[in-house]
Order: sequence, then C-alpha cells, then structure tokens
Amino acid sequence: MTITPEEVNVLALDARLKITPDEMPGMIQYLEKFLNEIKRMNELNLDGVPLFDFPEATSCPMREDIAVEYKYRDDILASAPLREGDYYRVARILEE
Amino acid sequence: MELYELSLREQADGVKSQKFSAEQLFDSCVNHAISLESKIGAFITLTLEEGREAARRMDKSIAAGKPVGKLAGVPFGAKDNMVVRGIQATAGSKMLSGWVPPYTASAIEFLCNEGAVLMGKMNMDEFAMGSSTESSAFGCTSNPWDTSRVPGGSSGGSAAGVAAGYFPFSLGSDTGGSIRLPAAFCGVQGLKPTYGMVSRYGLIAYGSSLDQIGPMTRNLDDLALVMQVISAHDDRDSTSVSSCHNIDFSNGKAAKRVGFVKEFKDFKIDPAIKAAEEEAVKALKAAGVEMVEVSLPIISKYALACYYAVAVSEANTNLARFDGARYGYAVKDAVSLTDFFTRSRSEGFGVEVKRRILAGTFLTDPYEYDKYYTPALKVRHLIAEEFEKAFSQVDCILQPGSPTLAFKKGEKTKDSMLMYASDMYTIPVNLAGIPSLAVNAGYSDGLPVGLQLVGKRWSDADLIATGKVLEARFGAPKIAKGGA
Repeated sequence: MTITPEEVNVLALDARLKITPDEMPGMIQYLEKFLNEIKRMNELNLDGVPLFDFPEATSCPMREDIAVEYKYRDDILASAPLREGDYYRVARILEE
Repeated sequence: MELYELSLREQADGVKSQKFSAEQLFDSCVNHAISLESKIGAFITLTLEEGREAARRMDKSIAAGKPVGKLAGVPFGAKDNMVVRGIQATAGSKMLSGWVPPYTASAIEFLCNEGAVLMGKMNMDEFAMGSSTESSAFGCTSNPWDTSRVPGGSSGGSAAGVAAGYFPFSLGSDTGGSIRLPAAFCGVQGLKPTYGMVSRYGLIAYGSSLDQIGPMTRNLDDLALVMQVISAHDDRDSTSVSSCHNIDFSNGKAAKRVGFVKEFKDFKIDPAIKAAEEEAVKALKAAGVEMVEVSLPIISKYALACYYAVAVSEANTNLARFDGARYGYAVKDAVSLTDFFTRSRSEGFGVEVKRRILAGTFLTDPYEYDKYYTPALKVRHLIAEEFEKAFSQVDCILQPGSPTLAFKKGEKTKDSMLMYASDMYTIPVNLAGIPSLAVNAGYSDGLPVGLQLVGKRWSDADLIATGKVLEARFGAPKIAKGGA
C-alpha cells in the first residue's frame, strides 16, 4: 500500500495536526508499514465471528441521576492555558 | 544493611514497630535515589516535601497509638500518567508539562490510605506509547544494570526506580506490555492484573479497553501485598468489576499443569532467555508440575496486527481531548480556532504520538472503519477464545517476557515497527484482558532475564503462587548498583 503526502495531509487535517515537510517522509514510511502489518488480518475468514467484549460487560453500570456540587471548579479553571475571568478563552472561530 | 535495601514488608514492619521512623526510612530512600538519579533519570517529578510531610504524619500517628495501614510509611513511585491532586502529571509529554490535576487516581488513593508515601512521579514513554522510555519528552531513563541501555517501556521510570532501590515498589500501567517489558529489562517482578481488577480512575488513558494499572516490586510477597491494597472495586471506573475483589493474593493455588506455546518455538529469541526458560521448566517439573504443549496459532500470527489496530484507534479517540483550550499546552498567538487546535497539538505532541494518532484517524475513518477496526475486534474475539481453549488444558502458560534482553539506547528508535516487535509476547494478554506476571529469571552478562506467566481471567493470585516456584529457583531480584 502506498500513501501520498496529500493523503497524509487529509488525515492530519482530520486529526488537527500539521505534518511538517521534515516529518513527512518518516510519516509516510510509518503509515505504509503500519497498514501493511494491519492488512495481515485479512488472511483470516472472519464471517460470523462476533466482536470482542469482556465476559463481565453484560450491562452498563448506572448511578442515580443526581447533581453533585464539584468542589474543585476553581482548580480546574486554573489549569486553563488562556482564561478571561471565569471563562476559557479560545481563538476566534471565524477567520478574518 | 541500609533501610532502603529492605523489602516492602520489612520497611512497613520496621515503621510500625518503631524500629525506625517513617521519616528516617523516607530519607534513606531519597538520599539513595538522589545519589543515582543523575545517571538513571527515573523521575519526572520528585515529591520530597509532600512525602516527608506524609512520613512525619505517619510517625505522629504511630506515636499517638493510632491504627496505621498495611503500607505504613513505605515510599513508592507512580508512573506519571496517574494523577495526584496538586502534583504535576505530564504523561511524559510536553502537552501536559506543568499541568496540575485537581484529583487523585483511585489506585494511589488506596495506597496512601494504607500509609504508603509517594516519593515521586516516574518517567515514561509519551502517553505510554513506547517500549523503551525513549519517547518521553523529559529524556530517556537509563537501565540501572547498564546505563547505555533502555529500561524498557513504557513504565521505564517505575521499573528502574524499583530495580535501583529507590523504593520497594512502584505502580506502572500496562496497555501492551508496559509493566512486563520494563520489569524484564530492569529485573523486577511485575503484574499486569486482569482487566477490571484495578481501578483506572485517574489514569490518563491511552487504549481504554487495554490499559491496566499494576505493581512492580523486588519480590512476590511484596507484590501480593500491593495487589491486596489496590484491587478494590471502584464506582468511579465503570469497568471495575464489583464481584471479583475478594481474592487473597498471598494464598493463590500454584499451577499443576503449565503450558508452553508450540508456535513460539520457531520465534527468534535471545539464547539467555531460552536458557532461562529451560531452567524454569526444570524447576516447575521438580515442583511436580506437568508441562503441556498448547497451540496458539492465531495469537502467534495476528496478535500484533490486531493490537496495533485497536490501540491506535482508541488512542486517537482518547487524545482528541488535548486541544489546548481547557488544560495542557497551548499556542498563544493563534489566528483562528483551527490554527489554535492544530498548532497546539502539533507542538505539544511528540513524533511517535503523532504517528499513532494519524494511524488511528485512518482506521476510524467512516469509510475505512469496517475494513480495519471491525475485523480487529473480531480477531480480538478469536484471540480471547484461543486463550480460553488453552486454559481448558493448562492452569497457566510459561513464555518469555520479551524476545531480547535490554537493548541499547537508539537501537530501535528509527523504526517504530521494529520497536513494536518488542511487545510480541506481551500484547496478546491485553487483548484478552487476562493477567500476566513478569518474573525475573536471573542475569546474563550483568543484564536481567525476564520470563512471563500468563493465566485466565481472575487467576492473578494463582500466577503469583506459581511465580514463587520460579522465584525460589532464580532468587528474588537484586538491587542494581547504578549501571556501568
């Protein structure tokens, strides 16, 4: 399987990453080797084989739907890289 | 003998009986660690103030006659992907450098409730993606037996710390061998518990259906004690299984029938590991164990492909949360939201993490999903089924911990797929959610040799009991003196 720089850039856009020209040859080589390894599974006949699940995973554990006050709100906000008062600051959504 | 050289149980007993104080023990461990740390580089963050304060509180409690826990005053290290309130947690990444979490991982909370004292947060491959600790943004940890070699990964700092005698136990996490490989390379005992046995609450996720926290120690009695403390049910982790926690880890049943894998005989393996395996078979037979050949054809051929398909897909999803907006690394001069996300992530993540995110993005693309990810989940089912069949014939399986001894730094960094092959003996275990014990099997030319016992789900205590047969043959791991 061959991968082009254009295909890597499409993936990178989806993943919110930018691959520099220096990184590109290594990334292509990696993805090609990786996908060739993954394709090995196609040798198996998987018709009718169920998807994996853990034996104990019969139901999703539920808890009471009750609001609980979280006492570390300020600590969490303190981790914000960019902040304005009690709000997270992010870059503008619409580009100029 | 210095205090740091004592086992976990001896340290706890000494503190409880006031033979020495928790503060003296902490100072002995810290002074020893600091004397070696410039060569080994096992820590990302030292918690000296917090640790000494906790040790003093322990001494006051004992002096006041208050009840103290099983791990009274015993120092430990925790891999830096487990959060502790108020202490930086980086997961080995620039993305989280300086991030101070507001809560504590359950496993660490359980240990501290029993009196254990955190000495520091340990180096690791970035977001646990690696087999050598070389992908850490904070530099590579050195193997305490030979500092020109890697300690294994991704829990390399945790293993190196125990091997070098910094503390008698540590916590690592294991997604595809990240406890067992460094345990083998550094010569310590390590357990990857059954998935669902130890709470993952507060563990920074890599592959959520594969990740499991586990202990590393210098003997199996100590390992059983740590497991007794951390294997509690936890409502805060929905995959923590509630019905399986009344296990006495010190009183498992040693195996009567042990399997060896037919297909693994053809794999290339270091002669020292092969020789250790033969010695282990002799020791098991001498203990009355019957050795039985089992066949794992799908596992031996397809587990690596299946594992990396599942792992990178889950990693891609888990790492989507690191966008620079709420916590972690962020660029300050973005011109748009897309620019902000893209540059924050591109500058914050290292190259191996980016590789896996892109591979995961490809495999989980709606047009590719059924070609790769869905088949991987089916192969994963076949792998679990194949193990189940093997465990109808034997109580556990004996196999190598890795194909090689600790390799030289830089030897495998250029080729990720070559690095991934280091995990060929460990990853099937995570896919099936079963336990596996890494046991030291002596040394070859000064480097530790590691073997592995693999068992069915919830047989963790039985693996420890069988491991003790090997520990009796090879001896408990020694403290490394800091490498060549």
